[in-house]
Amino acid sequence: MIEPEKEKQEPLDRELIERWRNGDQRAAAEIVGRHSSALARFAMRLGQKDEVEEIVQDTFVRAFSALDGFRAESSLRTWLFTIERRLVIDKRRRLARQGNMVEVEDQHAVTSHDALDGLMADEVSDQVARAIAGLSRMQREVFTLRVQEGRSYRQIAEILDTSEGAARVHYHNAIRAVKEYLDD
Amino acid sequence: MTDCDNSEIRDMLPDLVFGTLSAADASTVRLHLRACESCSDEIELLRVVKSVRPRAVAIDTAKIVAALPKPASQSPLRLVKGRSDEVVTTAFRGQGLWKIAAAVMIAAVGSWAGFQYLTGTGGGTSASATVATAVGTPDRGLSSPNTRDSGEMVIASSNGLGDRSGAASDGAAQAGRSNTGRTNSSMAALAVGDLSLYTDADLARMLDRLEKWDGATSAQSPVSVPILPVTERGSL
Repeated sequence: MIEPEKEKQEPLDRELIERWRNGDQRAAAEIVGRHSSALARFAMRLGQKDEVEEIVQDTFVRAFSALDGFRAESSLRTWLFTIERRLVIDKRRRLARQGNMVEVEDQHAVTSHDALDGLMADEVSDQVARAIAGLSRMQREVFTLRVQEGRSYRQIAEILDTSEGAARVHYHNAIRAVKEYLDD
Repeated sequence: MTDCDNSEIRDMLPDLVFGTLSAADASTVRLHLRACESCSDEIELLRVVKSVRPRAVAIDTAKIVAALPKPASQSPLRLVKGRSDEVVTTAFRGQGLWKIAAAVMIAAVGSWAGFQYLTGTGGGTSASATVATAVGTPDRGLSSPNTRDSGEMVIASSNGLGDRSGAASDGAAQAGRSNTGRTNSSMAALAVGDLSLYTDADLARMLDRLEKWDGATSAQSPVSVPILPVTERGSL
């Protein structure tokens, strides 16, 4: 499988990182501009309704603070997704400890019209969003990364800290559940 | 409708939607789609799901860029994690040395001027001095015509000290007298020695003390660096 992002953008991302390391702030601006929309979408697909910009900013700050630890074999966006996902999970756990919400680990997500309200642009999108919201958290994240972000199973495994085999299983279970929901 | 049992093809459907398949694989999948209604329906579903986007959230990228940390190479002190996980502090000599030289000279001038003022050998009014010529760029070293090497700078004092040899620095007076055509201006050349002789730890300590120094006039230099008078030709 060809990973066009890796082919077209990976060298450019690497070049930008190197330029930033040498003090070129415009390189940092270009990296942020290139990946911020995808990070915002991913945060929302992870269920983050509020403070999306804050999550995206925290992701970039963490990433730039740890660029020395960025391994060239994974794409920058994959790495950013990994960081962002951990931030979203940490935030959920923090809120759960404060008693603000119930943290649901790997059970079916609570579906609520209010939770989706304002998130989707049209009715079809709304239906699809409900179908995805009905998946377990792991299924939802795998499905989102595979179908909406075009990540490979290898990249998904890296982001979600799981195996490629497990990612495939979650994906196939997810697509079956989405089809059943939409067929009903 | 039951799902197609060709899991290999089904695994490639999202890649076909994103256009990330090789030409050969794409051709194989398209051939399969012509004959498999289940996979054709599935790829249509995937296209719809892919097109679904959350409502756009405005992201202030400028604000994010402003919040980013500076790269390690831009700070005068650089922390490098060694193989044994020991933290090794290295001064970034390429840029740090000239900055240290500039900072030390500013501190030295301030101290010297303060000394002049306190001992009454100064210009009588406020003891002020200006540092003549800025330091050059790190890669070219100090490029001012009044500098000799990375360790020294020529300082022009604005209080006419050169006219009063008195008990002031002999070197300063000597430098003032030796300046041809500038007998009425006060020129004093001071050298801090060869900074490359200092260890990274010494340089780091100097920077740290300079940062903590509040700039108040003091007869005592905040940095323990030998400050030696030089002649105009640069010999000590």
